[in-house]
Amino acid sequence: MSAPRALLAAVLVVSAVLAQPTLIAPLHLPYGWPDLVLVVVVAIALAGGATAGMAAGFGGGLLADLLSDHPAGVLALLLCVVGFGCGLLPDGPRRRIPARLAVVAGAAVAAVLGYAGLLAILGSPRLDWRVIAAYLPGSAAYDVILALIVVPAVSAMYRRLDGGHG
Amino acid sequence: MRPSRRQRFGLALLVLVSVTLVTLDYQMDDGRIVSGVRSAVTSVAGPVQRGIGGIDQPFSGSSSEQDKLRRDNERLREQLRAAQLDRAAVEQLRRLDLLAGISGYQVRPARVVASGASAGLEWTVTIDVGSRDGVRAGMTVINGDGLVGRVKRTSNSTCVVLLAIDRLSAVGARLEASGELGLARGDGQHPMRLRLLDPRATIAVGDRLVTGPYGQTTFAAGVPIGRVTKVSASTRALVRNAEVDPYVNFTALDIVGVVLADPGK
Repeated sequence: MSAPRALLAAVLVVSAVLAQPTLIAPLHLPYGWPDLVLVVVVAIALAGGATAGMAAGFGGGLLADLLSDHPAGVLALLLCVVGFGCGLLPDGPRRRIPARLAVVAGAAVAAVLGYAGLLAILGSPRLDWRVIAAYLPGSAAYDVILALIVVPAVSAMYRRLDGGHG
Repeated sequence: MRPSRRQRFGLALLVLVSVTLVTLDYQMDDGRIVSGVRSAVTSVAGPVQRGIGGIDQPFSGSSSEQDKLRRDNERLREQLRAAQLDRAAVEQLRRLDLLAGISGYQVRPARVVASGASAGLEWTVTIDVGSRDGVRAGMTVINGDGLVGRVKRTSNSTCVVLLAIDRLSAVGARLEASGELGLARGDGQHPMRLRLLDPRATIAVGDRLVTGPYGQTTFAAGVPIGRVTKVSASTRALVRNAEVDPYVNFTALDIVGVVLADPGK
């Protein structure tokens, strides 16, 4: 990963981590919660591949962990694996919009279930399967809607960066 | 695409680091290393969060130059909306002041600037006062309607509040009418669960619940928590349970106040 690409990814991830609790979470949308950090990580993975995806996921997840109230490392682990997985999508389908949106939806479901699973392993009293079950479909839908804007935008930024640097 | 050896090695390394962090942070509740990093990150992010979270209305986009009237109209409407927002904030402050006045507490008003990242499971908010304002961990947070929660961590300019409806929150409570003591636990967006100390205590639907002198953390006493909405039928059980509907609307928190009293007392 080139230096400008790494810098762009870092700026995008940090912005998402700061925007999530200040702009998105206070909306308290019904039926689910959109996860901007996840969508940005998936977008970076789709534009930059598995290495970029796992680095962005680990960094963004760790920062989000440190700004929230669960054990640090939970989101770092989840988003790192999700970013890696999404970055493995072959080049052909990676350019097609339905495949990209399916990847986002899959990543959203995996992230929510993975989060619940980790809380279960840690024995957190916060884990409430009623909430997970009720919010899972809505959360995935919100993430897909966010991805409709974020994924093309990130791809365009990566392309422009590559164009500008040969 | 198959991952290369280097990529697989990288993934394994990052997973290992994550798992180590989780273990460190989980086993040592308030572990020195992780909590040090955590407070450093919170301190840096605090001013940024205050900046973003303080924005009341989205900036109106730069509309085209040709229609000046339309822009003026938009601007005036925006001002009107801001004025209404301010009026709502003033009303909330007045109610907060009223509650603080009745209970005789010294209260530091604050504004919510961020909500817990995973809403639905983690019920916390970040507010724009911190240790430089005299806020300490453990202090009670209220608004004009009643109990909001308690301060969990502070940074210089912000602090994180664990809301009373979080599943990790347990509030020592007292039935206002009978004086019976109990513990009110959060259950997210479901009603709070009250467990009375005395299984033979009299409790009825509609009873008011206020903070009392019992529980792991001592809250400022006499702050309204909520109203009893359901009482478990069995009186032979060892404990008496009830459901409580909190007075505070936790999804619309804006102006809150930190009770500046020593949490130890």
